[in-house]
Amino acid sequence: MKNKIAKLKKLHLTVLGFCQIFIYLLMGELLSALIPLPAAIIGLIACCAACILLKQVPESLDIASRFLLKNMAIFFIPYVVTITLFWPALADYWLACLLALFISTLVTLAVTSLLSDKLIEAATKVSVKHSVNASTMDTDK
Amino acid sequence: MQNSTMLLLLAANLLITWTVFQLSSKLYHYCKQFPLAHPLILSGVVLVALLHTFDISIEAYQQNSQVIMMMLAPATVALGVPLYKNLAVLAKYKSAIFFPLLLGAIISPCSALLLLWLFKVDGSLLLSMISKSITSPIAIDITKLVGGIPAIAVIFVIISGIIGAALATPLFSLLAIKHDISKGLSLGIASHAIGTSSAVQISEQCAAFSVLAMCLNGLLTTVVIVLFSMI
Repeated sequence: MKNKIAKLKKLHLTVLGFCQIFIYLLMGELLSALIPLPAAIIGLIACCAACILLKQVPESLDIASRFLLKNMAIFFIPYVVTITLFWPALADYWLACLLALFISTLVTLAVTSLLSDKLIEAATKVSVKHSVNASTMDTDK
Repeated sequence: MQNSTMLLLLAANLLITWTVFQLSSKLYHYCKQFPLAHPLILSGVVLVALLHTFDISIEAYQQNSQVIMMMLAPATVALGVPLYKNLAVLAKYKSAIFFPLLLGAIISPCSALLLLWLFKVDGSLLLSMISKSITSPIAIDITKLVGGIPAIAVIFVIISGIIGAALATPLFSLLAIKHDISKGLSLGIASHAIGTSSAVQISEQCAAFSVLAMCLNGLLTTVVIVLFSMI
């Protein structure tokens, strides 16, 4: 019985969370007439802004967003399948296109992740130094 | 009658797509995350093969996958949650985010264009390649602006997404990338939302930075292209 109530409560929260997400999406749809951005991206910003205003993530929203994000890759599958529909348009150039995409994606991934790692390392070293300086100053006093 | 068959088809489509995806995810982990066995590649191949053997047209499948495709928008909105949870970390590493983002936004389209030019491909294909690292709804607008073919641009967007999602993990361990922040950032820059869907598997922080990179890269490229088209 207790288990059932807990399950019902979770279902209730999930539905509530989904409602919130659809409200943000609706806001995005409406605002996309004014802002030259896709509705989903405006909805994303609205969702984040709402959390900032509330100063927390409502449990319901958290549950619903976890569910959606865990399954996010599935929503791309129909798009992946429809690639075959447009493939003939690439006909003679498919190998060149594929190679270009392959190399440039790998290069971009490598360069950006390496640079970011270096910059983070540098930033943390500076902050460690600062805190060391601060602590030695404290002992001087 | 018509309506109930429609509903049945939609449900069958959802069930089959979901099952194929779950099985390919299992196989992917069983294959120790071998890139070619990535769920997006594997389930794509399996579904196309299934449709082919049962003589169902891709158009019919696409027609009945509207529900699945529509769920992408709320999933994108849901990315606002990990973004919010990591705002503090984000503010802390402003410069570590800005420079890779700028560099990536330049390198990604430029390297692809250069390679295509080397392979002697030009015209509308070249123009459709510019938006390859941008999330597809923005990519379609950009491609229209520069005079490419939106349908082809979407193919390029999806393929670079899959390449990033499938190869990121081995690449990161090869390069010994330590921070989830860097992993998320580069996935978002190079492979937009599909990369983000694999960043979600790494950690919440990784997802947040991937979202951020995806959005900022889209905005940055749009601004640059709009400015260029004004000149």
